[in-house]
Formats: sequence, C-alpha cells, structure tokens
Amino acid sequence: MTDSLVVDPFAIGRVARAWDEQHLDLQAASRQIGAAPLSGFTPTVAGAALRFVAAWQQHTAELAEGCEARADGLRTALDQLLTADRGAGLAVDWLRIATGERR
Amino acid sequence: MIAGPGLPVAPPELPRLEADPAVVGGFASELLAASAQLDDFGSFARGAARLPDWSGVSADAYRDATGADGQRADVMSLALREVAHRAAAHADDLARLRARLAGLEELRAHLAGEVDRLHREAPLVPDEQQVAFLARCDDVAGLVARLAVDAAGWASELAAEEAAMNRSFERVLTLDRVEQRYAGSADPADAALATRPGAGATATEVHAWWVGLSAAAQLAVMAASPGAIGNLDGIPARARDAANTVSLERDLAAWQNLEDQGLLTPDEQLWLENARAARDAVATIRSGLDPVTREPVGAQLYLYEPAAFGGDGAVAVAAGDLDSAHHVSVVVPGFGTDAESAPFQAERVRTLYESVRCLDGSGADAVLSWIGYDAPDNVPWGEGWDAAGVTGEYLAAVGGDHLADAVDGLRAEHTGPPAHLTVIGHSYGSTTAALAAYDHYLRADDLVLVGSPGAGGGTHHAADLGLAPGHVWVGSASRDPVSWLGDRGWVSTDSVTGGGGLGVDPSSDGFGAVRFRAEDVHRAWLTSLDDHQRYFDPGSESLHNLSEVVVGHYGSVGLAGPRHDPWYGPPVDPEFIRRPDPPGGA
Repeated sequence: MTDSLVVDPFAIGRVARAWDEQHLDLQAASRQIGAAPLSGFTPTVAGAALRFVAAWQQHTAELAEGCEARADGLRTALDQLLTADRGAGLAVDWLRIATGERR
Repeated sequence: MIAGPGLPVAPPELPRLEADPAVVGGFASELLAASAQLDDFGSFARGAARLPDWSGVSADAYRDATGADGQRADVMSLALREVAHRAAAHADDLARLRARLAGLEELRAHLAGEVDRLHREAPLVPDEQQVAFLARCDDVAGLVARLAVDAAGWASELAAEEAAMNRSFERVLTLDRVEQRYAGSADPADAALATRPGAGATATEVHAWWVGLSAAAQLAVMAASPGAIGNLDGIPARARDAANTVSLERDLAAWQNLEDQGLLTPDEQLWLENARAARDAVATIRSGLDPVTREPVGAQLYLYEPAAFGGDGAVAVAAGDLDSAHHVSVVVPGFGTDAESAPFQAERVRTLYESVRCLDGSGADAVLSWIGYDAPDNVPWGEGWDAAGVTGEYLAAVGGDHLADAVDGLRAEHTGPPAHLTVIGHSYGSTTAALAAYDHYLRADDLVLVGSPGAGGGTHHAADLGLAPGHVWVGSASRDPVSWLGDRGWVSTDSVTGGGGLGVDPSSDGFGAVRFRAEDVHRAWLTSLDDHQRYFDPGSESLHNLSEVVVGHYGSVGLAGPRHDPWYGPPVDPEFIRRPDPPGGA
C-alpha cells in the first residue's frame, strides 16, 4: 500500500457524499430528459426526437451510475486507509459512520 | 356566356401543420435544464472532487477517472445545450410557420369564395361586361396561382426546418459523435464569466458587462450558469427570465426526484414548495389575456431564490416586458408574504396589468410582483395589537435596501427612453417602499402606499421621501384596520403601545401625500381585515386609481380628503361616510 493518510479522512468522506449528491442530481437530469414532452413535434421530427431522448436518458443515467461507483470507490479507499492506520488509534468506526452514505 | 378556360380553378388544398410550438419550447427548456446539471457535474469533477492532498496509486487512479468524468460531462453539456437551443429556435420557426399558414388559409378561403362567385356569375354576364368580367377572372386566377406558389414555398420551408432539427438530433445521438464534435471545445460561458464584475459592482457596471458579450456568450451563460446572472441587478429582464427558468426547471426535476424516492430533507421540502409556487405564479400571469392584443399575457421570472431568507424564498414575477415597457410598476407586498404566496401575488399584478392595459392600450406596460425581501410572517391582527411594533421597521429597512437596488437594476437594464416607474407598497410593503425612498435614493417617478401601517419612523412628511412634489400617493380604505396603525392622535395605536406603530399614517392631514379614493362597495360596516385585501380587486376604486397613477394620468385619479385626528375627539375620516363608487363608475 503506497497511499498515505496525509489527506483528511473527513475530506474523502465529504467528497464521497458530494458524489452521492451528483448521482441524485444526474439521475434527476436523466429522468427530466426522458420526460421531455415530444407531442409538439411534427410527425417528421417526432421519430428522431424520440430516439434522441431515449439515447440521452441512457447516457445521463450511465453518468449518474458512474457517480455512485466513484462514491463507493472512495469509501472503499477510505476503509483501506483507516484499516491500515488502525494502530494509530483512530476512532475508525465513528469515522466510518461520519463519512458514510447519507441518503 | 363565359365557361371553361376563362374561369379560374379552385385554389389548391393547403398543407397542414401538426405541431405545437409551445410544447416544443417546453421540450427545449427541459433539455436546457438538464444541460445545466451536466455542466455543474463537470465543474464538480474538475474541481471539488479532486482531493489534491490525497496521494498514492489509488489517488492517482481516482483523479484520472474523475478527470475523464469531467471531460465527458463537459462535452455532453455542450451537446445537449446546442440541441436545446436548436429546439427553441425550431419552436420559434414553427410558430412563425403556423402564423404564415393561418394567413394562407385566410387567403385561400377568400379566393375559394371569389372563384365560386365567378363560376355562378359567369352564365349571367351580359356581352358588354364580358371583358371586365374576364379581367376579374384573370386577377383571381393570378392570385390562385400565387397562392399555390406560396403554399409550396411554405411546405419547402417546413421541410428544411424539419430536416435541420433532425440533423441536430442525429449528429449527437451517440457519445462517440459527441466526443468527435466537442472534444477540446471551450465553453464560451467560461470566458464570459471570467470577466463578470465582482461582488459590489453597480447595476450599471453589470449591464455594461452583459451588453459587451456576444449573443452566443450570453446564451451560453444563461444555460451553463443561470444562478450567476438570474438574480443579478443590471442583467436585462429577458435574460434573467431565461436563466431563472433554467434554474427553476432544474430544481423542480432534482427535488421532485428526491421526493419520489422519499429522500427529501425538510429544507428541500420548503424549497420545492417555493419552486412550485414560482412555476404557478408564472402560469398565473400567462393565464391572463391582454385586453388590447387578446394574446396571453407575457410573464418574466425576474427573481428566483427558493432558499432565500431561511427558506421563505424570494420570487419576483412580471406581467409584460420589463425591458421595453413605457410604464413599469413594482408591487411590494407586506405582512404574511413569502415565496409560497407568489401565485396569489401574481394574480394581483395580472389584474393590475390588465387594468393598466385598458387605460394605456397604445403603450407597453409591465407590472412586477416583487417578493424580494423577508416580510413579517403574520398580520398584526393575528399576532396581537403590537405585533407590528414587535416586528418593527427592521425587516422593512433591510427590504428597502434591496428594493432600492432592484429599482436601480430596472433602470440600468431598460432599453430606449427611461420608463415611467411607479413603486406600489401594500401593507408592510408600503413601509418597506417608504424606507427605500427615505434611506436610499429610490429612482421611482411615483410612490404609492396602500393599506399602509405607517411610512417609517423617520418620515414625517411626504417631502422627506425625495420624490417630486405631488408624486407620493396614498390609498387608505376607511374600514382597513392596518391603515389606522399609523394614527398619531391623542389616543392611538402608537400612544397605547408606547410607540409600537411603523411611523405616521400617510393618509393623515399634514403628511402631504395625495390621497386617492380606495373604498369598495363590499366594505365592512365598521372595520375588517378583508378591507385590507381589497386594494387590487377588479372594479375597486383603488385598482382604478392605482392604474391611473401607473400610466401617468394624474388628472384622472379620484381624490379623497385626508384623515384628521383632533386632540379633542376621535379620528375623522371623510371617506367613512362617502358611498363608494360602483365598479366602472369611478
């Protein structure tokens, strides 16, 4: 393990939570694109609009899922750092709770 | 007798347009809001997510991945924004094409009637009139031919527009195409925002910055960073409206998503309610019909801060175009107002707007409902006699500061000759408006105080407010108890509560304001809080007189005598015994 705990573990926890928020925000954006009303287009355009909306709902949903993966990855990394430094007497369990997923 | 070749043929059938431009505009708004969310994510991935103090193999891998996330979000944001702008232009084009088609349909109906008439008249035309008749036939045939050409041109134009919209969708359908098109592209919003004047800049400085940007840069800023300009005094109202609409749509989507999953915090619940109120306020304005044009009333979301004032929120919605109106009025509401009451306040300004338009049919007008300060939560009546005193003038003074800035912003961003600008304060909002004038230089042409509990402690005369003589107006219904709070007689609210009022009653003699009639045929027998809420009612004396002031028809304002409170007796209001004018009779 070459990583160091120079970084404030709370900072990692805060950023992990920020990724959680980004996940929710992008999930909302994905739903918003999916719900964009198509009924105003002429029949000639409606097909392309439908394909576009379906594709972009998926693109944005994938980006949202990536955010969740980043948040989980950060928490895993934090866990590893804390486990390695357990001997330093950190209140590990408390830290895990304080930096865990909030919603 | 004339038959066959000499007669014009029936005009051609016209193409149909199965489209709804307003819905396409809504589609564009949703995409633009989603692009703003992507832009926010890109900024996060390139900034706050970086964790620069974390080192090691995992840290490096993490930062590589977040960098890629940020880049992808940036190009996606640019692509989605371009499609949204194209869709908005498509909506405009569809509206234009629909209007043109309506003109062609009208012409076709006329020509069909002409052709039919000529066919019926043909067998009956006397010989000596045949030359003239044939000339008429030629004229109509020419117009029919011209209609066919115009209809074909219209259809080509629609086809070209549809093809352009389809191309816009197709060229960024996949992420590979998005990367190819936008990789390495700079967002014009970034360069524009880098030159934005800092905090403390005047509305004039902000306006100068904005008009110095290219149209493309302005569009980019509205989409990428709507919060940076949506509530910034000096930015034109149309741009503020566009930016705030992006913010509103984004917020509604984000908080609705949380609500659906049961993840909404109590604070977010409040903000969501404020956002919904802002949306409903805009819809309330648009549900009105302009009495002159018979078109729906235009609305502008001028101020949108759903989390302001500890969750009370700030929302300002205008009826009409604030940038170009000749007569602009700003309505400042009072006790019990917060963002959630925006639809109710919007109904008032829509009513005032419609009334103003009836008086000023040839002009351009705008009325702004300004919930831009933290008003006291309750009317004094509900909280006890001295609640106004408990609240005091503090919130009005802070609000007056904001109001003076807002009026400066309206002045700075207005195009063409300066507008005639009227500030109308209702209830505690009248104290706020008066303090804006007393403590600051309020750049209004007219100031109107209706249902006023007092003009603020430091103001003893209308002349203290800094407006030209005869331009401070007051409307006080004789049965409105709030309007009596500023009474300064020997026995008054002020003397009973030991100075608990909010300054002098501006309708009292000696104050020097111009008092107008504000009674209502539905007024109470003695006093009622209902009479505090009738100043904007359709058909009321107050609404009529407010409208006359707003359009500058000062000679048409129905005047009333001041109140008088002699030391030897109870207060006297000459309006108490006057029979109110019936609706339409003022």
